[in-house]
Amino acid sequence: MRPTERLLDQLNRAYGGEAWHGPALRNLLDGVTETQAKARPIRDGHSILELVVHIETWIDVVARRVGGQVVDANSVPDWADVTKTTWKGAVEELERAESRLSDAVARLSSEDLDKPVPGEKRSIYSEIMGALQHNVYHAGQIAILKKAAG
Amino acid sequence: MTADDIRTLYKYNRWANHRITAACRPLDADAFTRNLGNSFGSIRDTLVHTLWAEWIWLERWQGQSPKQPAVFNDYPDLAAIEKRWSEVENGQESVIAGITDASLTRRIGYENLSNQRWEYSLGHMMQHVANHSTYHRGQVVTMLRQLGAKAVSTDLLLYFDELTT
Repeated sequence: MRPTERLLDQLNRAYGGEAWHGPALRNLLDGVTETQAKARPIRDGHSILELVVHIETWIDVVARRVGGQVVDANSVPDWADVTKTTWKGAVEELERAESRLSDAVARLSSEDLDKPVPGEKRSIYSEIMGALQHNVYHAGQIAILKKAAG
Repeated sequence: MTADDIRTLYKYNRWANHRITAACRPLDADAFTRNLGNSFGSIRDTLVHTLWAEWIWLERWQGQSPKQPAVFNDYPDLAAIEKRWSEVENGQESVIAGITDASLTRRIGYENLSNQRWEYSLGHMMQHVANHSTYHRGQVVTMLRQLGAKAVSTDLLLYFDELTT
């Protein structure tokens, strides 16, 4: 398996495949209703909807950076206003962003992984690993919120 | 992933685990062990589960198949968890110091707690353990918020930022 194939395998497992660490992110979202997604069962905590939009935002950033764009993190809305966002729309955007990231990673050569991210010091490999860890981290939180939302 | 990638991942894992345990330090005993209704109940139990998983996979990397489940009450406080975790971290460091790109592709068999036989590459196992710890760190941060305590960021990119500043 080539390095990019291994990364894709890890991304896919964490997103919607056979994850080892716990439920994959996309699988956790199955069965979540609009009401559950917008609920805030933990005071001052995020809703599932906010987390999904946050995850999608950063997957999109990583997909664009891996594709060669310079993206200034300061220009990215870390926690977007979701008052007008539907649950179905958020999940569809997440699906599209993940697909763009997978496509961008699939186009990389092994040598590309060691190159720096445009405008950053870290490598493209590290950027992709950051997205993977970010997805896994927030999946753990969504599992708690899903249980709390009943 | 290369051996250097795994070494970086485990330095990050150690950094992130330490940030999480530091964030738990202000909790009193009741808050630390309070059942919050999650998969592993309390913050204490979630940390012990994470530590236990890092230990059992460390053993599996080395061809062993321990069958001891996590015993949460063996860890009455955070200090007990940190002490055991430090030993596991040292074990991980020792194994990871010796890995090569080639050894990460070596397949290692083990028996799980149900006596089922599995076999995976060392690299795959190592990535899995780091992901598992990340998943539960996310949960501990949410549980800290449930308790009204101060949460902490453990993002990989923050780790890289700290390395370069």
